[in-house]
Amino acid sequence: MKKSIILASLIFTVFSVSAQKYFTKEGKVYFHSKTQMEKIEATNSKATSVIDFSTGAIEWGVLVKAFKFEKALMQEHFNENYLESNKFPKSTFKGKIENVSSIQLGKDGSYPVVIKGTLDMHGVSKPVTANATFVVKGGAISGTSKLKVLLADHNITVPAVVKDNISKEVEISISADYSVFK
Amino acid sequence: MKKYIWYLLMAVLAGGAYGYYQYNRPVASLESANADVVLEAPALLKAFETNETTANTQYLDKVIEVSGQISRIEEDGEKKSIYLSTGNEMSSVICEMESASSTEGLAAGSKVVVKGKCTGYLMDVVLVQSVVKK
Repeated sequence: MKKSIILASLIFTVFSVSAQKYFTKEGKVYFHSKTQMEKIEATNSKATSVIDFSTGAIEWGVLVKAFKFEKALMQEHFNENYLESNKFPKSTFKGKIENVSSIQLGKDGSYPVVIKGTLDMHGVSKPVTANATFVVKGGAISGTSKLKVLLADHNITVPAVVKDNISKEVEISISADYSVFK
Repeated sequence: MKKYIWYLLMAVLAGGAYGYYQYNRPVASLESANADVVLEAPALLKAFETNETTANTQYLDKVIEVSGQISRIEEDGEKKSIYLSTGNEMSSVICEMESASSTEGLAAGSKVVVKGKCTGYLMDVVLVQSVVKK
């Protein structure tokens, strides 16, 4: 009897801990660069992200080659010249939600948070701080964020000929609908 | 002399037209592309799980014809993705489909052959621009 109670409580603990973990494999990462010469944009809808709401740990991963551009030439330049996706096939972000305790997973609402972490892109890691918003609605959790990345920070050099076509700072928008990690 | 100016003008026009075409060229469809590699979904995942670096050099950017059983179809508005079973519950071969209509008549459990471009491995192997092979 006692054993089964212990077992039951153990299972319950494990369950409630695991229920704090959420993930997605369908996260979206969109970026655009806009100059007077040219607008460049691309979308990746196969980003993977895992969040542990009990600790605030958050991770994102994207495959550079899965970014989709309207123009093939832009996609080729992006992969071959700028992000060198054969050498660096993925970009990752690992960080922590600073005020994770303010998020109430059981209560509908919109929760603004600050996320601090490290962005690894083009083989260069840089500290990043971003504002993000989590929305809890009927048990479903989604998150959005925007951040700006300086190309120079990640050793991405733009040749002088096209320097007016590509902005030095790129805005990245991120969004995801999370599911419980089973 | 005049003749040369005409030749020059024509060359410039042709060059300009070619440049314009190149600039606006859309990403080519894989519909008629030949597969570089043919294999089954579990074997593709296994290759990345065993040695990601080697698998990257073997499969990145390659058109892969992968066969397997659909574990689920993910819908996101116009976008559809086919998840292929690999024997590992945590990891699939995810095929982001080129067009929404391409999953018509397919459901979880269906056997399918998909052709797509390999972009690498996160928790899953991801293929993009995928088309169902008929």
